[in-house]
Amino acid sequence: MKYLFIFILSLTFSYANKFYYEFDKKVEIKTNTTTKSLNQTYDDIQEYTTTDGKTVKFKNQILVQCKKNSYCEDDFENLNLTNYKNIGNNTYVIKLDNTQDIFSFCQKLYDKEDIKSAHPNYIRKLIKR
Amino acid sequence: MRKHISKIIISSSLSLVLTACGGGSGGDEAPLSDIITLPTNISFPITPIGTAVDYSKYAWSINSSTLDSTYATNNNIDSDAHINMPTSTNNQKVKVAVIDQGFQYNHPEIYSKVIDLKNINQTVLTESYHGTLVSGVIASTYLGVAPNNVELILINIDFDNSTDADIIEAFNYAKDQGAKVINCSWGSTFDESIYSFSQQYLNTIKSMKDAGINVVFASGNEAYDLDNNLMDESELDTVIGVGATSVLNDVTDYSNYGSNIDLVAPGGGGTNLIGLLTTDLSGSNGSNNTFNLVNNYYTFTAGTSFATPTVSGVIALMLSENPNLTPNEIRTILIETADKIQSGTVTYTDLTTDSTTSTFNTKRAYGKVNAAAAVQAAIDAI
Repeated sequence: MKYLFIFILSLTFSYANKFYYEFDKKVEIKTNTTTKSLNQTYDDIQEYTTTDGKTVKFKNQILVQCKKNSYCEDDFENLNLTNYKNIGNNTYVIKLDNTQDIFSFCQKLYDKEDIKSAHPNYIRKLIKR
Repeated sequence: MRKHISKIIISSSLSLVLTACGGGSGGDEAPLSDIITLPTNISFPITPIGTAVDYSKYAWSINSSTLDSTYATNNNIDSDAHINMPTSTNNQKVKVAVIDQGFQYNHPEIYSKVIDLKNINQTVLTESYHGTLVSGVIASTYLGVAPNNVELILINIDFDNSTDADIIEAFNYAKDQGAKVINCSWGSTFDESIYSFSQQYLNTIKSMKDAGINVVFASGNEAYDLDNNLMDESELDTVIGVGATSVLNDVTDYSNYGSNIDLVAPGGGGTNLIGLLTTDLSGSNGSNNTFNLVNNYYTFTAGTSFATPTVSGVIALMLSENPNLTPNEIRTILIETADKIQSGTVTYTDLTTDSTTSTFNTKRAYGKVNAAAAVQAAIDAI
């Protein structure tokens, strides 16, 4: 029984921190299919599988949608996130360094009152037609 | 296995259809390095490279009466393959944004229409053909749908290294610069194993329509039935999705289709069929003198990439006559004035699920865009 409890607890810790919100939709990560390197930058691509079996790829960057008429740059700076860019319509992309855990910062940002959504910046490879 | 349409067509019909791919020889071409490393911080007025030549006698998609008869006969060009251009247009300018990869903004056919170049995720234009070809379909002096009615906002994205943020930035930039039409001759089709479009991405595209901007997407070139568990931007109800027709005045054999595609328009090509003539990289960076018909500032190309700017150009013509039209009104007019191509041999049915009275064919959508009829309906709606 004790070992079962420890097993369940370890599972909980394994998965509990890997999630983020797209607006009010929670996306949970099941597995990491890429290995994080020591030299990883915000431009390296990470690949994960969600708990519903979808593949997601993203860079170590967070896409943030702030509420209308809000000023959420203070929120970024409160979290020591300084490498950000306004990409219009109160939307920002924040670049993290290799010591910053993307899931942790997505959650912290999402908890801010002025922020509607904070999730990884997905790769979207385009095809010419 | 998805393949770019140019590869499909070249493999099946090398002698008939060429796409921009470099090469060529002689003449007054600019050095290669001057073209593939064009700076992205351009100054105005733009100095063109070379001279525009009137090749409209080969522009089967917009012209029939003055088409070269030998060329038309040799290439089996149906006399109704064109989009029925209006006999006259005014000179009111409409801002059209082209989000694409690679623009030779100093091409002699388009330089005078370019009012802005925004670089999203590249510092130099390293691969310059696709956006150049697409822009030519809209704005080329002799080959374009709306050469006198557009101001081009060129927005460059490196397609191989793009993210949601890059594309969102591109759309927001187009909106902030006052674009009324955004042409997207690209897509990111994927199946159900891949995480879907993010809500942020979808919200951004929807916000364009909410702001009165017409977003036009290409349906793609793999002959896919997009209703078959595939997701694609061209299927979104906030955009106009466009498939491609050929010189035979029918949908091409490569054009993706589905119940959420709106229109077809000339995109050229298809098995053993000639492409659509448009601007190419200038000089030696462009294709060779295709079929000994045009110089290497021009090329015959194929794909829904080129059907899409045909529709974007028609929308610009409509807005130049009636700038108050909303995206919903534009879409309704385009659909209700479209030509039911091949209606003698295929069936168009009334969809009970849509908001229009126009009939629909699975592969040909609501039909082929009819420029004169759409522009007249735009005028009538004033």
